[in-house]
Amino acid sequence: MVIPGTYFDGRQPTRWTVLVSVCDGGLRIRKEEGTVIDWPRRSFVRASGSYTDERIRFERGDEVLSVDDPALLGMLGQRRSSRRKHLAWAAAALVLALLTAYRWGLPALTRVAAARVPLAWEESLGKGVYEKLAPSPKRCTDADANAAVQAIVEHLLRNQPRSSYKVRIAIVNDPRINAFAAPGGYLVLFSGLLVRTQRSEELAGVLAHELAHVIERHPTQGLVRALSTSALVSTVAGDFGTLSSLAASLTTLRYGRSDEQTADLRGLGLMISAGVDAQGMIDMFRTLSQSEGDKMDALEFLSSHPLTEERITQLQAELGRQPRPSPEPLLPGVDWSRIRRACPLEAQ
Amino acid sequence: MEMQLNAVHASFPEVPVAAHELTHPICWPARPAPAIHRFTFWGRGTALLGTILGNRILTILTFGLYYFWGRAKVRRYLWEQVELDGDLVAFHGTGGELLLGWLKIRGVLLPLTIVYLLMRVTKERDAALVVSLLIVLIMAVLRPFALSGGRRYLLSRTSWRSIRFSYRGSTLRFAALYYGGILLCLLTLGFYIPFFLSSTYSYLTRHSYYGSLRLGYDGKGRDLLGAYAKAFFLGFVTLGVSWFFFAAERIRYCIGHTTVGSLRLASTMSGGKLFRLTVWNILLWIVTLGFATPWIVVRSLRYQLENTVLHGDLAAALLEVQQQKRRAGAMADELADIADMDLGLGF
Repeated sequence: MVIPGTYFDGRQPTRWTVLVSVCDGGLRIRKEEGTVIDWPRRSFVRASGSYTDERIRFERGDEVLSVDDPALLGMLGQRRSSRRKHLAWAAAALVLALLTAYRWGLPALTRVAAARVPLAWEESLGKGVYEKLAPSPKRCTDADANAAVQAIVEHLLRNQPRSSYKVRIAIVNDPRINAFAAPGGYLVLFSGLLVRTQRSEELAGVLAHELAHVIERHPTQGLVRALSTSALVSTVAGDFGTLSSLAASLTTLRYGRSDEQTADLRGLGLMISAGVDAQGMIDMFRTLSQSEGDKMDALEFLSSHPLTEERITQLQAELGRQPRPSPEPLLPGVDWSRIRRACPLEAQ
Repeated sequence: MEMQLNAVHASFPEVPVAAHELTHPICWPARPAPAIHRFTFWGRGTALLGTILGNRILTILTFGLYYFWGRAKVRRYLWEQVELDGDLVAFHGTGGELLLGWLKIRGVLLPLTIVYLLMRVTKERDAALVVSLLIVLIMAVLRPFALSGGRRYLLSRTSWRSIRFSYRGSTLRFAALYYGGILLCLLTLGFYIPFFLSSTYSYLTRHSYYGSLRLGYDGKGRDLLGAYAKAFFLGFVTLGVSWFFFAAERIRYCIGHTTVGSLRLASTMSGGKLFRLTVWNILLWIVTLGFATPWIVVRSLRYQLENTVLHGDLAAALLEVQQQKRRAGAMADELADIADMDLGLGF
């Protein structure tokens, strides 16, 4: 079987119409005027034509043989594949590698790395977040409210072993129902949440939950996780631009379900050992999950703290199990109904 | 074995051959040469996307090492979609030589980077700023080196009909021309720019060869001055759109004054179409969050190539062309990549 092709001798750009046949694993190229050029087996390479949409090109040094009919490849015992098939294989390998990295690699890395993050780094990282989300002009300046919140934090921590973190808390004038912990012991409380607390014990519930995040180093772990996830995503997406930053931001600083449960139970423990009425935490969570009218506002807190009925039930059960000394009043002599309204909902 | 060979002989059609065709084996079969030869670009966005995604995957799986082979693969795909007179361009660059070029550049930049990082750590803010400015300056200063050296690499790896292209200019001379031009542009408040564009294009073109055939350029910078002035003054009224018309005018002028032996190139690009293409590309990029990049590359190359034609008797022009290869390393090409410069198809 002979196959038509085009031959170039590598010395001049002269186009030779040739007929090609396979002979003992090599190529026999016959020009129309009769000259025969033999390319013995292994003296030539296939430079193009691995894919079905490519013209087949063989090269021996500078010589070129170009062929359209894929039958020649069959005669040489070579195969070619479609781009789609190659891509499918590569994609399957990648998905497998990524799943492995995400399922086992990242959590292991996060655990190891977060434990080794120096305290000074955590502090400066947390300070950055804190300054950004609670800038001085947005902070509540009411001395009583700040003192009350500070007193609650100190009260909650009074029976705890000294933590390496110095806890700092700011109230931000913002209508959203939110509170969060940044790395390094920085806490931020939105006035939108403060105004919805009926008594100081309810606020203590939220703060205990956030303090538990701090003690368990969840913010730092979250940050490390976000960093490594975004590194992973950007390796995949690379110069496909904005997609990577979009995907990375979705995973930023969101605690997992188990982190939330840990913080709930640990927070409850904080309240009990500080002698604070732990029912306050449950009441507050119930208020938040049931605030029907304020659904839009409540969304903020719920999105970062998925507050399900399940978690409340679990807390209730845990509270029933714990031996409870009769709680002392948290802030005797403080008029909470004034404190909770002391901070404006909008930044001035 | 014998049988097979006989079969080859038997199946060959008997064609009457003129005596002069045997002594002068020119294009076979001899056909009347058309006066206009068009370039065709066969590239497809889907195939390019596949190549890019495949590269990305392999790059991840090899912890980044495959990057260089991927880059060579993308180049090879794009180059080998270009067809002239029935034959495709071939690309011979490899990932290995790109890696080597990259290592050489890193060797130069690494000491500076280390100094920079040390200064960052020791909080010497001002010193760190100076060093980082130095790195930026080096990258900017190296632009003509990347342009000239990158072209040397790319042309040396490009062939058509088994004959390699080459660039034989002196990178130092080109750099002198480039910096001199920049200086004059600054001194004349920009009105030297058309001369600068023409003279740099001229140098790069006149030192380029197809085999033994030298390319030529007979344009003059002053011919572009009118178009430049028009674009400059209309730029304020048209919010910059007039620059697309200048870009097209410049490409038409430069390409139209480029010769390849007895052949002459011509471009039919238009400012309006160039503007529309650019706007569409930007929109596509935004709407698809960058995923349309392969289609954008393909659309742009197709527009560029399919608006380029070659006038003259191609067969006659190629008759005297001999293979003349030149050696070239990939260092400047990697420099261009690090500096995020696009050398285009290089010819």
